[in-house]
Amino acid sequence: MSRSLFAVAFCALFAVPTAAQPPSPVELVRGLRENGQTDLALEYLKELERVPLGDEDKASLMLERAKCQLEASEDEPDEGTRLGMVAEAKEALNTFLVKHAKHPRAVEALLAVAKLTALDAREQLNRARRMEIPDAEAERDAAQLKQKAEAGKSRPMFLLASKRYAEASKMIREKIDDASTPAAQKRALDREAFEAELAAAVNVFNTAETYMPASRVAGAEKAERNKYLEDAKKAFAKLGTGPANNRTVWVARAWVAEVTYEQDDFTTAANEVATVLRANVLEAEDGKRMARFFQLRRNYLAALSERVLVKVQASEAEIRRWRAQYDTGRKPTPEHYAVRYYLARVLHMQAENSIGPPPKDGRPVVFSAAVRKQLEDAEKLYRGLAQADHDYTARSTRNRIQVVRRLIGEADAPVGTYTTFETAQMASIIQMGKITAEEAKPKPDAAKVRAARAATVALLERARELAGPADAAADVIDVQLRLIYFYLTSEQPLQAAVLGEHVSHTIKSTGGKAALAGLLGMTGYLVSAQKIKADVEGAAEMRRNDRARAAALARFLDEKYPNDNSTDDARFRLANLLVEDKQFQQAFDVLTRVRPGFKQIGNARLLEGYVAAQIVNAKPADGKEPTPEEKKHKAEVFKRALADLAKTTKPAAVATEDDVRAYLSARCRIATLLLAQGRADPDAEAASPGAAQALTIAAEAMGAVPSFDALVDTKDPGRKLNLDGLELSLVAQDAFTRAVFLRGRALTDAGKFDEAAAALQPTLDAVQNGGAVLTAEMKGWGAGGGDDPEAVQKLRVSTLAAAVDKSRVDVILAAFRLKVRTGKSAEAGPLIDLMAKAGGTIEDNLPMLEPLGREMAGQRLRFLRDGMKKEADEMGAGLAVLLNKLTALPNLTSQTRLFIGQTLQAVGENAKALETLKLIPKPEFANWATAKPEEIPAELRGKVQNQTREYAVAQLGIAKALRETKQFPEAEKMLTEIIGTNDKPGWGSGRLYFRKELAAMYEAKGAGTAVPKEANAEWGKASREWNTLFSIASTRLRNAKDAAPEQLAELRQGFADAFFDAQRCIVIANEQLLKGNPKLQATYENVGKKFVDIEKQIPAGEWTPEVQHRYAEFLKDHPPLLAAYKAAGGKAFLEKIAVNP
Amino acid sequence: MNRFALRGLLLALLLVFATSAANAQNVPDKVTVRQKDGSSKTFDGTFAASAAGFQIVAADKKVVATVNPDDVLKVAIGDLPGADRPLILANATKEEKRDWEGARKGYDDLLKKAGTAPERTKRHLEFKRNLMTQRVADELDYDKDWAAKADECAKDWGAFFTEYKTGWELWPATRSQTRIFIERNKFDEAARAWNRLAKNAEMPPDAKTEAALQEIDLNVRTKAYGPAAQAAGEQMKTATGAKKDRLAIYEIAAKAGADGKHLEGVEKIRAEMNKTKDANVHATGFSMMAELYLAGGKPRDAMWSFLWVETVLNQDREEVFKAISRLANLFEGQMDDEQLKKYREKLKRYRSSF
Repeated sequence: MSRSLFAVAFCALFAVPTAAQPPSPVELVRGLRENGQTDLALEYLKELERVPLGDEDKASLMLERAKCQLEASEDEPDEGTRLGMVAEAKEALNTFLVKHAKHPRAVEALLAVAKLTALDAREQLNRARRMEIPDAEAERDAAQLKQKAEAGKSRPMFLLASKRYAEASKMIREKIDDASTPAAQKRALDREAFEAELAAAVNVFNTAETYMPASRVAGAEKAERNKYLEDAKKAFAKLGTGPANNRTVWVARAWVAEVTYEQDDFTTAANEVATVLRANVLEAEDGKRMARFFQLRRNYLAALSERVLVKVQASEAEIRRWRAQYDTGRKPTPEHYAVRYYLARVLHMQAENSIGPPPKDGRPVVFSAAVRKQLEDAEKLYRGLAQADHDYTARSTRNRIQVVRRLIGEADAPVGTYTTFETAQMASIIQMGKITAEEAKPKPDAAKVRAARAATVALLERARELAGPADAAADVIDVQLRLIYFYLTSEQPLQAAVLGEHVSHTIKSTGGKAALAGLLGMTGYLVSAQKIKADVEGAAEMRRNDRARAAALARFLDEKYPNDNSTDDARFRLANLLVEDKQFQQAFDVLTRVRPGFKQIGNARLLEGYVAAQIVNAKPADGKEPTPEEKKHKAEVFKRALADLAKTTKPAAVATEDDVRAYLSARCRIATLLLAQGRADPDAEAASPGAAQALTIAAEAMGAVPSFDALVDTKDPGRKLNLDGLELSLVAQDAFTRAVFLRGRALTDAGKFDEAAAALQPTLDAVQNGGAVLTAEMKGWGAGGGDDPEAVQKLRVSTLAAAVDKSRVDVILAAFRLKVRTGKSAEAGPLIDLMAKAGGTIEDNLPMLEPLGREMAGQRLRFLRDGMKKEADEMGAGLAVLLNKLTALPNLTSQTRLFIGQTLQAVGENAKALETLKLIPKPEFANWATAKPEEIPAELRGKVQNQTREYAVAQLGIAKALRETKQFPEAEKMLTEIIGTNDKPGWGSGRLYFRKELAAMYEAKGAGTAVPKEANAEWGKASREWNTLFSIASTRLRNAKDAAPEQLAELRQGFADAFFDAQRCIVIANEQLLKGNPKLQATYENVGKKFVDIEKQIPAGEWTPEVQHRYAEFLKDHPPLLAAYKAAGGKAFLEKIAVNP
Repeated sequence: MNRFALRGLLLALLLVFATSAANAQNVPDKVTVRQKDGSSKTFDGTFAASAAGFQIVAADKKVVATVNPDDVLKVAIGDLPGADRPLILANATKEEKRDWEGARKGYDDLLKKAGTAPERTKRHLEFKRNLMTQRVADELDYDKDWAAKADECAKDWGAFFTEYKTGWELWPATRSQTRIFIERNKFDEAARAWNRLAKNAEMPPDAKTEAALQEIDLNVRTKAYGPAAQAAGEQMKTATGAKKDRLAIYEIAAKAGADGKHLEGVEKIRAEMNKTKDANVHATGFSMMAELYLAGGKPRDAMWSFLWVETVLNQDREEVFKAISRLANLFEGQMDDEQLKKYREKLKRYRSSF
């Protein structure tokens, strides 16, 4: 039964609208599709998306869309595009079956999926059949084994297809058995069940064909093959006993004959064929065609292997008869392609036989007109076959080169001597053949390849130049595409770019050729961009220019050829360009347009996941809260990316490494994306925390890695992971560990300490028991890379392992915080030791410990300030554990000592801080204090500058500690030596923080002196120091008249800050010295007025929060001053300005 | 009978002599011309240029064909009074064998001996000698004295134009000389050369228009925008079809260049190009866009536009030559030594293919 009849039957049988209901709009879609108007059907489907429909109809839309795509794919000549459409339909059908298993039309979906599974299986088997088997024995053995393995992969696929057909048949028969089904429908259903059963049997037969090559099938395998043949034969025979007015019966009988031949029972088979061919009912036509095709194929193969001229000629005549009857302009089927190829082959063979071996004396081969005609006919057939995608494409291309060589020689004549499009393009084919032949050699001669490429380009250019309206459009387009391709491969990307763009805009062709031209053009632009030398003036601009052209071309393809596979490729590349330019939203939009059939769909989805994470995690540039629309958009992006990533289905255990990698990578990307759920979709996060989901998914992925054959050493009984397995396992571990960290932190923040501890513990145990993930061997891989793919992968593995260890350290630190938080500081100590086990020493982990120390110190001070003594003590205890661990380390660097000293100071441990800071030595360079940078040898300059900075900061810390422990004389002595005098400046005279510290020290001394006269002296010194600083700020501002506006504003803020300190000092000093004295009011009034003055001098918008807040807070803390300020008309410091205005 | 026999013999001898003498003086030129369908056709007659056109005229003064001088693929010169035909043929053989130096010497010798020959003979011999001199230079590598030799050739052509004001040779001679100027980036001199031809009263109107177009094109390239815009406006008054479309593009380019609004000019040219499907007009459009990009400080965009002329819209080999020459300069600016080398080789190949 034809496809449309098949569909009509379902239309009548499974959709049963009641008479009272208007027909569903989906019926129109179905009608259009069945009439072959798939384009209109798809258009109408789009309109229906906006129409409210019932659940059943909504589900039918999904099914209809998939079926329309499948129908449209059959008219698509380009294999890539076709496969893309099929893959998209397949995904939709699977979704339909999962979501609507009980839908009245589920059987349609099941049949369609069965058909697609069978097609996949067939494709896999053809892949094996297409493999080259060399003549040389040593190579042949290996190639045959490889072919056998490849064919074996299609076996489970055929069996699955057969099973699905059987299931569909069962569903149909259940409907037949239903008493409520009308008799007329039952008859039609019966035919459908027959069709499904026939298809099931054909797939069993095909399963037998997967045992190949014949020379490699023996013993148990041969028995298995025979069993499948027998099963198929039984199934066909059963179907063959059906009524003679059923076409399936006759097709089944043709198949019975074919299986019987396969079983070497020639007489029975011949009788069966004769019976089919004798049938005089119309329904037997398909069976007859099949029987004749099987017969023709057998005769052709026999003629080819026996090489007897009479048989070859007979085969040719039989083929021509078949073509006259069946190859009459209908859309070609696989059988048509096969028969055309057979004909080309027999003609080619006869011509070669007539020509014979080349003359020994080197004379040129001369052949008759008849032979030339055979060659020309064969060439035409091969050419036509080579322009479509089917089982014979590659063979036709190869054989065509041989024929063309016979016809026009070696194509070495000067380009100008080819005076027609036809000869020039044929000559180019010969040159291409030379490239292929040279490249196939174990050690290809690069010069020869280059020369042949140049000759090919010249010939293709010549052909393009000579092409006229009389030349076949398909051939002319092929020449243009080849020319673009060869421009690319012969290092002429500039020409490839413009010609590719031109062709994509101008040719009118189906089969994705325009899109392919555009894609090649896009590649040309991108390669050109890469080749721009970095040191050329304007190189960046030039690169941007080329990339913009590539992007524009990709967008053109996206718009004009949305359903071509090359367009998906262009979209993917465009997305990569946009990601590089940090245009994440645009990249996301482009990626969501990549169709499921794209060969790198896995990578596209991974990129989509990455881009979604970037969008979700992005902070608004202006610091504002996102609007509700923006929040909604983030949630949509997040959900879409998750849904797309989830479409990568789990492959079988025997799947290829590519498939497994795509699946596991997608799972891990889902896990990492879920970690951002809180930012993207707070409602979903509240319902089911992303980190918890991520944990489950990543754990599943980790567990699944060893179950895939492609990721383990299958010969190893323990299924040890191979390099791919190791890499993917680490990808999963990385996701898992990050999820553990975030989950633990979230639980800690929520006060769920026990749950947090439980979440963190397995990772702590893993480190405790297994140590670092990055092994010594992997560390050695860290230096790899270059062009060796294995070295590159090892480098990747090494980097991943280091990342997992780093994430584990984060988990350990989270556990450390948790211990401190729960008052178990004593238990926190071993966790620091555990860090070393996770890789590296404690010192290696200082970059993480330092922020932790600072965070804890800050937290402790906040607790103290808020009166939370218990918490502050816990934090202090934890900090002490951390610092003790650090101070116990041997050979501490100055940087670490500085960190320890500063942290000790932050928690009030001044004595210990002094001890630590004093250990930081002076710079090693002799004249460090006086030497100008250029006077220090270049090789030492950086080191000396670092040492000087560390020493200066340490000295400041010491001065502060001395002040805080009231060791004023020591502090004063030290600071005045560092600063020096105007006549004899010290090494720190230019570092204003020493002067500020000196002033602060005098203030502290003054404040601590009870005797007014002595106190007055100290306050006087403090005031003098602050005025010196103010004077410096004034001078700087005065000298910077020509500075940029931003710089001037900064200097004005410095001026206001220094002014504030000078005034503040006066107020505090007088509050102490004039306590109870009415003169104090004069100070308030004077300073209040000065605050108003400075307020007027600096533009309102220029104040930074840091400086303005000091004024505002000081006024708030000193009400009389505030009153005086207000009375003087002050306004700017009444309220603190916002941090982010 | 003897007497009759003797008279008969005498008559026969006279007849042979007369026929041979007539043949020696009346061997026609053979002019091979490219046809519209891409094939070529050879016409016999005397090839001449006049206000009526570039024509091949038969012995009976009938015009065999009127041709576009740029479509002429080959002229096998016929009889030249005052020049030894076997020597002319010998030189032609040398040319076929690409023995340019041998042919150059041959034509030079013939020219020296043709002191009293008619102007047509001297003009053709000098044309051929100069052409052979240029062929010798054409085969030199860029870094092997090519520039110096090319400059000498250009000077020789200058002398030729001073000497001769008529003849079909003026057209290919101008093409040859301007190709040197273009490659040497002397667009102003190239423009002047075409100006001379555009004003030559002996040239047919079509050729004069084309010469004027070339002059405008080169004036834009040398940034003489004012004269270019003015000339384009003038020519547009009478031009039709593709020539008018090209002139419109030249005018846009010249005006945009004069106003310093190069990139605006690019967009206008693009819009103008969209009005036609003529590939030659598109080639002019891309060339002019490239020139505006160059003038507007967008060398990469200029490069892509020139590449369109070279790779896609490459019907007019003279335009392609200009584009290749510009591209070589651009690659030099981009320090792309690999491309520069390729394009210099390409220029060398192109030179010898004209």
